[in-house]
This record gives sequence, structure tokens and C-alpha cells, in this order.
Amino acid sequence: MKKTISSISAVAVLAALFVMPLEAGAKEMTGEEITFGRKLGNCLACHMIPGGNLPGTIGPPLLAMKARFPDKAVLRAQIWDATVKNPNTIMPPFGKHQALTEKQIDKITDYIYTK
Amino acid sequence: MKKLITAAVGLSFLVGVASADVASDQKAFINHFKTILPKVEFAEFSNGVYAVDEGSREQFEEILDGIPPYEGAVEKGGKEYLKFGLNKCASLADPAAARIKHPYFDEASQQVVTLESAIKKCYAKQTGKKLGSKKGKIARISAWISDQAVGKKINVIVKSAGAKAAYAKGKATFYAKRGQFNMSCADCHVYNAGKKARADILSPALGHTTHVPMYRAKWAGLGTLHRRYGGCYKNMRAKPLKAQTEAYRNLEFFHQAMSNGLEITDARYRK
Amino acid sequence: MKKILIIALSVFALSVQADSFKSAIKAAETGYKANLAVNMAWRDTGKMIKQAKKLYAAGKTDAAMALAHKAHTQTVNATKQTALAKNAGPLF
Repeated sequence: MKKTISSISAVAVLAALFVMPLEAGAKEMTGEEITFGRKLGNCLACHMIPGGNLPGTIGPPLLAMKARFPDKAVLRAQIWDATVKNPNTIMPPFGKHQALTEKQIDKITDYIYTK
Repeated sequence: MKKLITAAVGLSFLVGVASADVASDQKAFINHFKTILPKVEFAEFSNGVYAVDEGSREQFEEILDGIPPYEGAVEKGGKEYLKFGLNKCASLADPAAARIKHPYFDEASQQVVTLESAIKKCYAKQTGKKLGSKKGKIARISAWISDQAVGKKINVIVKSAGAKAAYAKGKATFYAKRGQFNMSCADCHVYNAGKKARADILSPALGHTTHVPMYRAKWAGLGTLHRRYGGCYKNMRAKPLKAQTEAYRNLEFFHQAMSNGLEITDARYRK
Repeated sequence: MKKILIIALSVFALSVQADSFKSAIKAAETGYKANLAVNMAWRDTGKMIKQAKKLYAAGKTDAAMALAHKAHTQTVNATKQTALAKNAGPLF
């Protein structure tokens, strides 16, 4: 168990350090991978997203995003810091708190916007 | 004029104290759970997510019908209670009473005394050795002591000014957002209780402390309430505090008080 | 003469770099200490500070600086949370 924890944190540290080289490298992560990845966006923890397994029910389903967010920048801003619109929201401010990089947020926004 | 000021100051003091009133806090707390989970009876909240979700309930009952995975550990805890002479400490001599009495506010030290902190203190006195706070021996002994109080009701008393201050601190900790994920205990276990995070149902905070220490399948063993607090902090990407530190004891004081009137249970199994 | 100038300049540049890393890591450490004192520290800030120092010692100055700044930003955000935490209470 301890080993798992330390390897998880090692992965987290490595990921934090090498996000840029990784993204620039051969194995660039797709928007879907960042959106679904448990150590990254993990959007499925709370949101139903078409194509994702075992979604949570905490947040609203991510459907018809183009209709709900005619301005894509508004959707991105919501992912970056949802507390601007609602200070009590349970949704982590992924950008403001640097849980994801700007580039990762761009990719998630692009991916979610196709739903 | 002076009198008026004194009266006004006195009144505002009263208002301040009233905001740390357990009975009215708990009334609002219970009312919230009635609103979001209207089908769950008050007494059923002892069973956590198993009171909310029928599918999980069946599994839970199957586990309890067989030999629960923690049964041997709890039995061992009972032997350890005697072996280390914990029955010789006044605080623990009557185990059922000890479970009900804790947590309480000790006026002499102006600190909240939890059951586990009393066990640690007694263990040190009897053996001259230190006892951990999260798992193993302390969880086994605490679980056995709690087993002796099955069916009795949680009854945390918050009366003195000192007790109210400790309770208010615990309450603030419970509702404050923390960590990189900016979440509070209440975000999951109050406002979103019963909903799913991936496939896991978020347990209602009402009733949380009726079955501690708990056995978690994830841990493959018993763990104390403060062990779980640490895990929750980590999930929120906040730095966990040490088990049995003042802040966690205050948090427990508030957390247990919110379950006042619920029966203590030996159904310790959780996912 | 030219050589001396270049050496002097590069020594100067190095010391400037050292100063800016030192002040960045100090800002992170000060913030982290303050967060710890009020039980509001974040999970990874301490690890990030340690890692930044290691990177700096290994000569990876840019990566060290980036991480020190990130750790500092974490402490700034944790301090903002601390201010809000004081008035935390139920929404019902």
C-alpha cells in the first residue's frame, strides 16, 4: 500500500515536472485522455459525459455544450475557476489552483465542446 | 445610556453564543438530510450509504450475516483491553459508559477529550509505551470498547463557554474549503450526500460517527475516525493534520454532536 | 580584458540567478509555514519546495525556478482560502 502511495506521488511529481516535455513528446495526450484520466481532469468523477464509463452524479451532465455555452471562452473560464460564478461550488478551480496546465484546460475545453 | 449599551452588548453576546448551539445546529442539519434524502428514516443514518442505496445494502447485509472481516480484530481488541490493564483507568473502566462519555470537553485542560485520546493516555500510563492513533491496536481496542455500547445513543454535551468555542472551531473546520481542490467536508458529505463520485456513493455526515472505528475494504482493516479525516484531507489535496491533534479533536466534537440521538452500531463495514 | 569582462559578467549573471531562486524559494517557504500554522497547507507544497531545491542543486535552474514559483502560488491560494475559512458555515 505504501509503495502504491509513493509511486502515485512519484508519478504526480514527475507529471508536474515533465508535463511540458511530455506534451511535446511523441505520446501527446488527447483531450479525451486528459478529460477522463483519474489523475488529470477526472471530469467523470462528477459529470456524465457521452463515451465515458461510470460517471458520477454530482455535477450536471456535459451535453449540448455548444447550445449551453455559445461562447466557448465562457466554458473554459468555468473549468479554469468555477468559484467565480458560484463561490460555494464543489468544483475545483482547476486553472486558478494549477491542478491542470493551461494547455490541458484548452484540450479539455475543446473535447467537452464537441459533446 | 450606559445601561442601554450594556444591554446591547449583552444581547449581541447572547446572539453569538446562540450561533454555537448544538440543538438548533443539529435541527437544521437533520432537516437538510430529510430534504435531500426524504426516504431515509432518522435512525437509519447509522448505516451510512447502505441506508441510501439498496443494491449496496444487500451486499452489506450479506457481509454482516456471515462473519464480518473485522470480527477477529475486535475480539483481539477486547483481550488487549484487559492485557494492557486499560480497565484500571477510571476513564475506561466501564467501556460502554466510556464510549458514550467521549468526546467531551475537559474544563481543566480546556481541551476536547476523544475516546482514542483517553485510550492513548491510559495505555501510556499502564505500559509506559506510546500507542498509535490510526490503525492496529488502537483501532481494535476502540472498536471493542464501542461494541460494548451498541444500541446506546450518541450524546455529545456542549455546555460551557470553552466547550462552545471548541465546537465552533470544529464546525468551521467542517465547513471550510481547503486544499488544491478547494473542497470542504460538507461539500461531499452534506450537500452532495447520496450522490455518486464515479461509482462511489457519498456518505451522509449524519450518522458518520456511529460505527467508528470502521473497517474499510479499501484499507483491508480497521481504522479510526482520525485516520479517515487524514484520508479525506489528502483527497482534497490538503495536507493532513496529525491524528488526535487539537483541530481534529474539535472537528470530531462537532462531527459527533451532529449525530446526537443516533444509536451506536457494531456494523463497521464500509467500502 | 574581454575575457575578464565575460567572466565577470557570467559570474554576475549566476549570482543574480542564485539570488532570484533564493528569494523565490524563501517566498514559498514563508507562505508554506504560515499555511501550516493555521492547518490550511496544501498536500504537495512541501514536496514541491524540496524538489525545487534538489533541481537547483543539480544545476537545473529554470525547472527549479518554475517549481518554486508554483509552490509559492499554492501558498498564496491557500492563504486566500484561510481568509474565507474564518466565516465558513452551513449554507442552510
